Amino acid sequence: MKMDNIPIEDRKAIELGMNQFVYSALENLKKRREIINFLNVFPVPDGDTGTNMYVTLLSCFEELKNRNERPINERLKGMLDGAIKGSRGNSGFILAQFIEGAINALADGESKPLYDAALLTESIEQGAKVARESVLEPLEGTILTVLSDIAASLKRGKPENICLLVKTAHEEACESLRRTPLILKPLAEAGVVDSGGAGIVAILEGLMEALECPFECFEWKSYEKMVSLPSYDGPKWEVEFTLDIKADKAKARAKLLDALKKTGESVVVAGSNPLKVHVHCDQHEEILSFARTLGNIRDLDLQEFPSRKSFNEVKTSAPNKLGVIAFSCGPGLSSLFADLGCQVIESLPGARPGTSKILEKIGLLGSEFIIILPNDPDLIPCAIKAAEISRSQGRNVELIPTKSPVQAISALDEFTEGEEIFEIFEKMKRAASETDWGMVAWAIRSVRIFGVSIKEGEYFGVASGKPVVSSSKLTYAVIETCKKIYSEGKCASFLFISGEELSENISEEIRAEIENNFPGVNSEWLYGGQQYYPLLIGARKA
Amino acid sequence: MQKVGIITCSGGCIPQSFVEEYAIEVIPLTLIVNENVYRDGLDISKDEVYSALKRDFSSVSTSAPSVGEYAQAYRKMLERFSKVLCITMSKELSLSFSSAVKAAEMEKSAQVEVLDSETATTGQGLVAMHAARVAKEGADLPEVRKEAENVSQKVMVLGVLDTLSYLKKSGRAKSISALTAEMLNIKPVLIVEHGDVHLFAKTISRQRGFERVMKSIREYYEKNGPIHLGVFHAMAREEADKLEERIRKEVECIDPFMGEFTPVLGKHTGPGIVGASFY
Repeated sequence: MKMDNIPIEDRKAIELGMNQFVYSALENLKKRREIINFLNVFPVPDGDTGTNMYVTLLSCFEELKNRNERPINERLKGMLDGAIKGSRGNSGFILAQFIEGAINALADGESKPLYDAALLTESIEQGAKVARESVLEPLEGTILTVLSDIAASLKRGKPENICLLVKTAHEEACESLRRTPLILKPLAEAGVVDSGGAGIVAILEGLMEALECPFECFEWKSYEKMVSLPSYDGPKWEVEFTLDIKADKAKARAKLLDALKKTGESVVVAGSNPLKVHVHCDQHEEILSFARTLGNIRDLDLQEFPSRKSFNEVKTSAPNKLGVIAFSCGPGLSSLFADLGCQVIESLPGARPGTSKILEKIGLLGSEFIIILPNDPDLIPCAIKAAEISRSQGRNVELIPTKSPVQAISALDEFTEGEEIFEIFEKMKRAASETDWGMVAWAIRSVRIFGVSIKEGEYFGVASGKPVVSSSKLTYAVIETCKKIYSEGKCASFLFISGEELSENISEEIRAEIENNFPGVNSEWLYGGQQYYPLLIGARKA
Repeated sequence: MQKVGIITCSGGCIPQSFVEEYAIEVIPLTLIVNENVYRDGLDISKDEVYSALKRDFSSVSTSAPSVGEYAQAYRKMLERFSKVLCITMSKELSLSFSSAVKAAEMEKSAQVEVLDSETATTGQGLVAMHAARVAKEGADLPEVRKEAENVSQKVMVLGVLDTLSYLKKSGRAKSISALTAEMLNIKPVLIVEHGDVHLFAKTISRQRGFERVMKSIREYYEKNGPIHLGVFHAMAREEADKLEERIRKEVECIDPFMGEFTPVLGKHTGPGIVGASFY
């Protein structure tokens, strides 16, 4: 290559603007950082390729900047030191090794000027070689392949000047990057190209901009779309917020659910007051302004949907070894049991599910071992029957005879991932049996049982299946029931599951009375949403 | 005469007084907040990082220590000690290990060994602290390494999350299957095991989450006697204090300490995580 062939602008660009050169590459890498991070398919928390390459190049640039007035070779050496010192992450390290190889090759040719395209070609080849050698087990379809492809294309094409050199390198880098999913299967599966290779393309595009060479940009746009909007035509927004309800809690909840179901998908409303709300929708303004009519919104989280696909993929994991079927008597409990990993069967007054419903659920579960939690004395017989039938068909089905959802919650609380199934089963059984249960219900007729006369329209309390109190005052009935449970079991903590009709005022009153009567006993409240039973009560033994 | 110097990355939350007493070299992890590069624990407080994270999730990104930082630390430590053991956060969770190994290769020094602690946060701290104690007594490198490995196999790290929304945003929940963003009723308890984060239990309240942590600690204590303890938290000091107080009341603890959870992992768990590492 003859010096005369090199346009004068190139010499200027390099000699006067080396900082500009690297700075432009750095800025462009920064611009594409988020996309490059997204492309990374290997999930290590601090393994963001874009960030790591950026930080590596940043350190390289800073060392260069610090040597502004120094001779060119010292400045190059500074870049090299900066890259090595600052390198982190695999791609950052490989980039640093590339820079080291390339700069060492340039420094060898001290007599030749920096803007010699042939020398640069050679130095890039050296850089690619050193980068490859620095990795113990080089993997193809990665940044290493892209670097080698660039070096090979320059060797073939023998570009005459720097503009052409960078242009050739960029074109080949783009092509090579597009080929990476053909070579490396995980990339194809994730529908992406190699992140480190993409970093190289971004750097080259920064160089092209600094050189003011016209070029065809890599198709970043199509990946930009993947970051914010993957191939997906469902709702646009994922909305989450907490709602402090102003007035009638039960009604507000029903209204909100109704409105959410009309306009959105994946609706979840948890808790009683405040409500925790989750919905996927297209028009979040509409939902939010409706919610504001019911109460105050806080902790609002709006996400353009979906932020990343992996999280949503998690749901379709292999069937668990252990399957749990839980009966629920209210929407709050259903959502709670579902979150705890149960298959839920709803059992509403007047619509008690039978054996066939349980068998149907067992049929759907692929689990090796299935536990049924009936959560109601009246449902135990049909659960026993279902377990018997399933066992005769070769399924491994066991029953924990929980008489109340509070016992099921204690049992599920024992669940530890990865533990032996039988051990979990034993622990769950024990926890359920160690949980005393009670409830307060609304009497639909007068009756006298177990020495307690219950009057129609009054609240009566039940402890471990036996009526203990009847009163027109709900709070009184609750406290008396709790006292009975407490004296029987010496409990350490109470669990209250509130029903659909329990008003906020009364529930506050009850909370205060519980604190007065049982100082030092921890109490937890959950929203169950059950009908007819304002409160289900659980007590765990000390 | 101490032969082995101990190096570890900042994720281990080792108390400064211990670092000084045992001459441990702590390499900061890298945090990038609004385009500015900070060294974890040195240039920026964890509260500042978590506050930025709360305001804008994408304003915070994280990175491992650089190869150069490790290489420099090796040279520095080798001036004082004849050997160096570098103990990093689990390689499944951070690139710290890869930087440390590359630095050791680069230095071409047979005096340096790198150990993947296969754990994180105060769990990693406990591994490094034990190594430092053994090293100070004059043990040689194979022995220090063996002791550190021993703790790394035993140590249990449990953390109670406050929300699932950060795991969802970060998209790094692959290893924590069985959790989905819609689980608003759930406060998960996570465990660091075999180097990676897994779901330990799903509980219906933070209180119950802490109960699970207590239960595991009690079980371990009953079997093994007094425990080494490192409670950790991200912007939840009060709860962490309460947890530590409870643990210390119920079981006998050796040199308990408190650490602030590194935002490198906190970006994914979110502020509000509180937990305990023990062995």
